[in-house]
Amino acid sequence: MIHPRQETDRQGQYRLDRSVFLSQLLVGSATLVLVAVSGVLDRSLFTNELFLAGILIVFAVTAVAAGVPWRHFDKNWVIVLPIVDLVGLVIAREGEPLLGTSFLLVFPVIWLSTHFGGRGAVGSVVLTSVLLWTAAVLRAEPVSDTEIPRLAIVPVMLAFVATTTYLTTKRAAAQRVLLTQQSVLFEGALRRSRREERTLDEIFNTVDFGVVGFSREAEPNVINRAQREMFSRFGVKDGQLASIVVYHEDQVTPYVAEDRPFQRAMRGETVDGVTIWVGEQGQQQAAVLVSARPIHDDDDNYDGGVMVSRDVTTELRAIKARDDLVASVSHELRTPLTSIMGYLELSLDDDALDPSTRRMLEVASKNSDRLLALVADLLSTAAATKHELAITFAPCDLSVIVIDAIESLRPAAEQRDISFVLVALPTVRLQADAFRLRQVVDNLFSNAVKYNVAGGRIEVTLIDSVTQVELRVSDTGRGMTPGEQVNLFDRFYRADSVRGSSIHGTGLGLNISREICRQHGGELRLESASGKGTTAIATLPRTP
Amino acid sequence: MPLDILTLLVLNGVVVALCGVSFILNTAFNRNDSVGRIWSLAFIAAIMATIAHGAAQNGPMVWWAIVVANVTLTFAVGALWAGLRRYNGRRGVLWVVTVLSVLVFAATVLHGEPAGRWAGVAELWLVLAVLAALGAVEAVRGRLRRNLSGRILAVTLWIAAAAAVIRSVVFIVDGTTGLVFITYFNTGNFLVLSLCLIVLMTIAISTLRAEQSSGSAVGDLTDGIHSAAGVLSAAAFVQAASDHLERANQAGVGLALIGADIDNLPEINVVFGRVAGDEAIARFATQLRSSAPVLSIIGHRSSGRFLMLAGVASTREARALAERIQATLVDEPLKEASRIRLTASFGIADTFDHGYALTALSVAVNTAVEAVRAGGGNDIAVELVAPGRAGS
Repeated sequence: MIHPRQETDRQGQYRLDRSVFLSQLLVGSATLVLVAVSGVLDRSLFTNELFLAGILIVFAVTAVAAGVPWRHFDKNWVIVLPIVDLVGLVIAREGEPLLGTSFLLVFPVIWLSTHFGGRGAVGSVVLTSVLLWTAAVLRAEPVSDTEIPRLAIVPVMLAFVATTTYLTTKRAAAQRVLLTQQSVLFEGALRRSRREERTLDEIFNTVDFGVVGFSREAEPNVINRAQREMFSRFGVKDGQLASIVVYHEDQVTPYVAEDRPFQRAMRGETVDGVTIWVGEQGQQQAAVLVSARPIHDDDDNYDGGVMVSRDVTTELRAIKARDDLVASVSHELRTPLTSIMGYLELSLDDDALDPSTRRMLEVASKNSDRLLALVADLLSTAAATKHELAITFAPCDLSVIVIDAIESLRPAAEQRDISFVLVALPTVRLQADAFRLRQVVDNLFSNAVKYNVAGGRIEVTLIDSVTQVELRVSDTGRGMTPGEQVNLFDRFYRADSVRGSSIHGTGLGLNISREICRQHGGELRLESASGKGTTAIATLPRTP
Repeated sequence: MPLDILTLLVLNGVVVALCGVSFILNTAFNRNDSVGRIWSLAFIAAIMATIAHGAAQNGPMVWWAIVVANVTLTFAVGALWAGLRRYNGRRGVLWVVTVLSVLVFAATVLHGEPAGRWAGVAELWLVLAVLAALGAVEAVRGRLRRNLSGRILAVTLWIAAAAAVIRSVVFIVDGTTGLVFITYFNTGNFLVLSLCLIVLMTIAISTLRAEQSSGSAVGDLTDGIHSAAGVLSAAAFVQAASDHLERANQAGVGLALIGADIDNLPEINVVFGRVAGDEAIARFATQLRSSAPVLSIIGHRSSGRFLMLAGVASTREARALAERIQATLVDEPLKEASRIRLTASFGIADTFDHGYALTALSVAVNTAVEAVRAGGGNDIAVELVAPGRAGS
C-alpha cells in the first residue's frame, strides 16, 4: 500500500515539472491546431521552410519541456522555453504571415508574464516586438504598407495581454499572501484555544465536584471525572442523570420527574444549591448539592447550560451526628439540672442560712439558670432541625411581650448602664405563639445588651402596618463587618472577634429566633456596620 | 483499395496527432509521472516526424525536413523503450536514445541532399529495429512480465523491428528501384503497417499507464483493494460493506454508514493546483483512518468522497463519531494551500432507520451529504427516515 504522506511529498517534487509541461503544452496544442488547420487549408504550407521550421521548433520545445526534469535545475532556466517558443512562432509567422500565427504569440507572453513577474511581462513584449521587426527588416523584399500596421498592432495587443496577466498574477499572489497570513493568525488562535481547552479539561478533571455541560438538546457534551465517579455507582451512564430517581432531603420522598434539578437545568432554569439524595432506599445513598446555570448565545437564546454537583453526604451525616449528640446530651442534662435547681431553691428558702453560704448558693442557682437556658436552647435547635419546633397559635399582644422582656432584662442592662429607648410601641394583637415570640424578643434584647458598649442605648421600635408587624431593635454596640455577618444565622456560629472575648453565647440564639419567625411566616434579618451598631429586624405577617 | 501516399501520410499524421494529443493531455491533466512524460515525449517526436515527413513527401523537397523526420522518428521509438524501462523501475536511457539520434542525424547528413528522400534511411531503419527490439524485450520483463498490454506491445515492437530490419536489408540489397522494394517494401505499405502498429501501441501504453498507480494522483486510482489514498477502493468497499451488513443483520447488530465529502475540493484544485487537492484527499483519508473505530471499514468512493461503515449502538454514537472526525479535520493545515484547513460535509444513515441494504443506506447518505453541501458544508446531517418508508 502506498503511504499517502510519501505520495504527497513525491507529488510536491513534480510540481515544477508539471507546471512547465502544462504551460508549454498550451503553446504546443495551439500550434498543433494551427498545423491541422493549415493542413486542411493548404498542404503546400508544409513545404514552406520557415513555417515548417517554426512549428517544429515549438514542438521541439514541447518535447524538451516534457523530457527535462526541471526540478533539478534553477527555476530561471525555464525562461528559455517561452523565449524559444517566441522565436519559433515568429519564424513560422515569417513563413506564413496570414495564417494567424501572431495570435499564438500570446501564449509564451502569458507564460512569461505569469511566472517571471514585471520583467517577464515587459521582456516578453519587447523581445517579441524586436523579433517581429527584425524578421521584417531581414526579409528579401521590403515591408509592405499593409504589413506595417499589423507589425505595430501585435506588440500593442501583446502589451495589453502581458499587463493584464501580470496584474492578475500579482493580485492572486497578494491574495494568497493575505490568505496565508490569516491562516497563520487563525492557527495561533486555534492553538491558544486548544491550550485553554486542555487547561480547562485538566481543571475539570482535577476538581472534586462534578461538572456537566449540556447542549440545548439536553445532550451532555462535557462530563468531568468527578461527575462520572459520583454517579457511576448509581448506574448513571454518559451523564444521563434523567435516568435515576432522586429523593428530597428526608431521603424518602422522591422528586417528581419534572422537579428534579437535572430536568430543571435542562429546561434552562437556574438551580441554586438544591440538596438531593441519590440511590434507592435501603441501599447506599449519597447527598448531592446541585447548582446549575443556563448558557445563552449571542442572540440571548437558550444554548445549553452547565451543572455543578458536590457530594455532601459526609457533611450532612456529620451535622446530623452533631445534632443527635447535642439533643441527647441536652436531654440527659435537663433532668439532673432541674433536680439541682429545685434543691438549690429549697436551700435558699431556709432562713437559717449563713449569709456567705446564701451568696454562694445564689451564684450556684444563677449559673444553674443559665445552664438550663442553654439546655433549652440546644433542645430547641435540635427540634428546629428536625422541623419539630412546636408552635401553638393563640391571640397575644406583641407590645406586652416586648415590655415584659425589657423588664426582665433591665437589671442586666443597668449593670452596664445601658438604657432602653421605646421609640414606638403600639398595641399589636396577633395570632401567634407568645412563648416562642418571647424567646425571640429575649434573644434580640440579650444580644443588644451583650454586644453593646457600657452606657449605650437600645432603641426598640414596633411598627404595625396592614400587611405585617415589624420589630426593630437597634443597639449602639460594636457592630459587625460584612464578613462577620455572612454566617450569622448558622448554628453554633460565633464571630471570630467575640469567640475569644468574655461575652458568653452558644451561637444558637439567632438561628432559633429566625426559625421561630419563619414558622410564623415571617423573617428575621440583621443590618449592621462595623462601629455603628446593629439593628435586628423581625417581621411577622399581620394576622386577623 | 489503393491509396496514394499523400492520403496515407495525412491519415498517419491524423492518427498520430489524435493518439498523441489524447495521451499527452491525459498525462498533463491527470497524472504527471515520469513514465507518462517520457511517452508524451515519444508522441511529440512522432508528431514532429509526421509533419517533417509530410513536408519531405509533398511538392518541392525540403531537404532538412528529412533530417528532422529521421531524428525525431528515432527519438520517438527510443523514448518508447526508455518509458518502458522507467515503467519497470529501471534507470532512464534517454541519453542512449539521444546518442542514437545523433548517429542517425550524422548518417542522414553524410548521405546529404543528393540521396534525397532516402538519405540515411538504412541506418535509420537499423537503429529503429534495435530500439524496437530493446523495447520489445523490455515489455516482457520486470513488472510487465505478466501484463497483457506488455505482451501486445512486445509483439507490436517485434513486428516493427523485423519489418525495419528486413526493409533495410532489402533497401541495401535491392535499392529503391528494385522490384522487391517497390512491390513489397514501398512507403505506402509501410505507412499502412505503421498506422496499425501506432494504434496498437497507443492502446497498449495508455492501458499500461492507467494501471500504474505509483506516482499518480490520489484520486480514483487503486492499488490492489486499496485506493491510492490508503483506504478501500469503491468496489472493495461495496463488497466488504455488503458482507458486514449481511452479518450484522443476522446478528442484530446496528451499523451506521457515514458519508464524508471534502468541501470545496474543486476550488482547492483551481486555486492551489492538483497537488494541493491531492494533499487534501490524502490528509482526509489519513484523518479518517486515525479517527475511525479500528474495526470499521473505510472506502474511497470518488475523488473527495469517502464512506465509512462502523458498528454503533445508536444514531447518537454515529453522530459523535462524525463530530470527532469533523473536529480532528481542522487540526492540521494543508501545506500546499496557504495553510488553509479542510472541512467536510457528513451524512449519516443507520440500520435502525434504513435497514440492512447497502443501496438504501448509500442513497440516504448521499441525500444527507447533499443536504449539508447545499447548506454550505462543514456540518453533519443524519438521514432519519428512509424516503421510501416516509409515512408508512
